[in-house]
Amino acid sequence: MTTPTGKTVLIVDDEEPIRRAARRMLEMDGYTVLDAENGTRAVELLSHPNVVVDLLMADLQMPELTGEEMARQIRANRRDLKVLYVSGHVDRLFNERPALWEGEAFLEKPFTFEGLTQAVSLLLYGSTRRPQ
Amino acid sequence: MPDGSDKENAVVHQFRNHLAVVISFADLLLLEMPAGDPHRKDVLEILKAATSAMAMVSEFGKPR
Repeated sequence: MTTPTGKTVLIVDDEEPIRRAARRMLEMDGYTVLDAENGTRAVELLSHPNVVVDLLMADLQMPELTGEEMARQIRANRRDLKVLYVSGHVDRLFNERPALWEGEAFLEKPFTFEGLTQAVSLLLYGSTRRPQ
Repeated sequence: MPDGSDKENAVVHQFRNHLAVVISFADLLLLEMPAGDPHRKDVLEILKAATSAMAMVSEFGKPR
């Protein structure tokens, strides 16, 4: 059985099955998971200082608030928050955003258990394998 | 240079999302299946076909 990491990931994606798949993968790897169906909900959730989140998993293409704008708003008050951007259009991302800031990474959809958990571990621990 | 039409991009985006769901859940099924499970090769076929479809659909909606 996987040992709990003590870390919390907030998944923000407007597609419910994507959120569910990501939740199962991350819970299997020992993370606590919260989720939100859009950026506005995520910004509202993280406006409460008692909600502790270590990593934001942000779908880039969402209606209303984009993943990037959502992350910008949230990180204004939570500068240490790690952000994993997820999108099916890697070429488009790099056209619009040629560089990532410190504490950010990018994962292409579709993701597998291995790809997702390695990306999350890399951001949180600096290694693709999380400490056991 | 502009991308494909907005309608084409929206369809491609939705189609990719559906395929992403198939691929992620097929991957989860494989993870949770015992090594000798007789359905393992069936799930691998689903994964293979969905991954090929993803590669095909990725050709649409690219900059022209």
